[in-house]
Amino acid sequence: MSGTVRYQDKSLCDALAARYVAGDMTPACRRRLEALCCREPCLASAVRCWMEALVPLQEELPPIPPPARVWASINHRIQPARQASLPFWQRVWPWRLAAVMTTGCALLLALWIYVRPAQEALPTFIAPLRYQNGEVVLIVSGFQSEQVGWSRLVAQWSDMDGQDTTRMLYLWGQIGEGESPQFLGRIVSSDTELSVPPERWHVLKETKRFLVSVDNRQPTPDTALYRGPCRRLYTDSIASSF
Amino acid sequence: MNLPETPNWQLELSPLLKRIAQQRDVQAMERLYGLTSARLMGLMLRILQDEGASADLLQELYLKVWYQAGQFYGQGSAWGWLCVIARNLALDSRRRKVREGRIFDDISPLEDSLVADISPESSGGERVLYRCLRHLKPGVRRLIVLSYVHGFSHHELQTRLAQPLGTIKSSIRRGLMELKRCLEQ
Repeated sequence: MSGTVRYQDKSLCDALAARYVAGDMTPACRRRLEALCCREPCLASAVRCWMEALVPLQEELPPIPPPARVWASINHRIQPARQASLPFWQRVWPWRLAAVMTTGCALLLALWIYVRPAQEALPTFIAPLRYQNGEVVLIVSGFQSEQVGWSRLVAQWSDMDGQDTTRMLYLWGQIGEGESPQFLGRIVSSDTELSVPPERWHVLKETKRFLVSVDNRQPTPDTALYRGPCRRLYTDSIASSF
Repeated sequence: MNLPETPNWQLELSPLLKRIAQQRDVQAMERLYGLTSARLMGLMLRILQDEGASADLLQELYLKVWYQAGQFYGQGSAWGWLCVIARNLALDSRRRKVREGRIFDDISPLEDSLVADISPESSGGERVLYRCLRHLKPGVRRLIVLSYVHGFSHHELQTRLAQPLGTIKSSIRRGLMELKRCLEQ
């Protein structure tokens, strides 16, 4: 007899239900019957019928309040369970927030890394500074940016041999012949990068010559340690030829 | 079936189980616990005769209810469903203890309680059931109450009452059928 036909037999369902409700089944049989009840209406109905018939026997038993620890323990156990039963997005919102913030930071960093080299790829001007004997010693490059705080001057030694890189030097810009040099910043290490504020960049735009002195006194082209002309670089036509 | 009217507190149980199943409502769980825990503790204690073990099992029962409330489909008696779960848990625990030799109880002290259980002075709702129980032969009635209320397995009853297992099983089976027929009248 197939399962479905078998459990349409009322007397069989009744006998099984009576044994189930009376507690006369092994745990395995009980689990099987509970599973069967989900798909066999006749059996489920018989179980309900027996359950309701015998339940008054339980109602007559004297109630015995359980110790307080029982509810405390249940409450403690179901609170985390309630968290777990929340929708996934509600359970993980702190992690989701952290992930969104991390991703945002990573994107900003990537953007910064991407944009910055593009701006510093090509200098706006370059100045080879020489000794009195004509040898090029120091190269000063200017990188202009429209963003505040991004314009920079970079000073690089052309040859490190014989250079005292610990010595502090002073960089000056001279707008024209006879004009007083304007202090631009200190050169303190082998390669120096100076941030140029917008108002200072206007000076740099007009600068015709760079001078380097060993102290903070305004140098002249004759007293300067190094000197050199500022050469503007026009990159548009070169870039378009590639 | 000629059953007594359902008490008000039992009518509350089904909606509470629904709220637990669908909304994981802790307040509904607390209310359910308040309405049923003392009664279910009594049921379990009757079977296990050990207050500590009954309290531990009661906790297990409510956790089971919390996770499996969805299995109660709102059909039939929620209180009956709770009683069956409680009984099954208590019977399993009791049978483990019997196997391990940790229960050596004597049936004789229960004889007094059986008299009380089927007293005609019981509250109105239960009178129908007790009337039907009283119609059973005393030996059969005793077997049913010992088995159903006190959780004695058929094997235990065989040992304690020194009767053949087949006799005990058929007596209980016949008694239950008779009881059901009486209730259906």
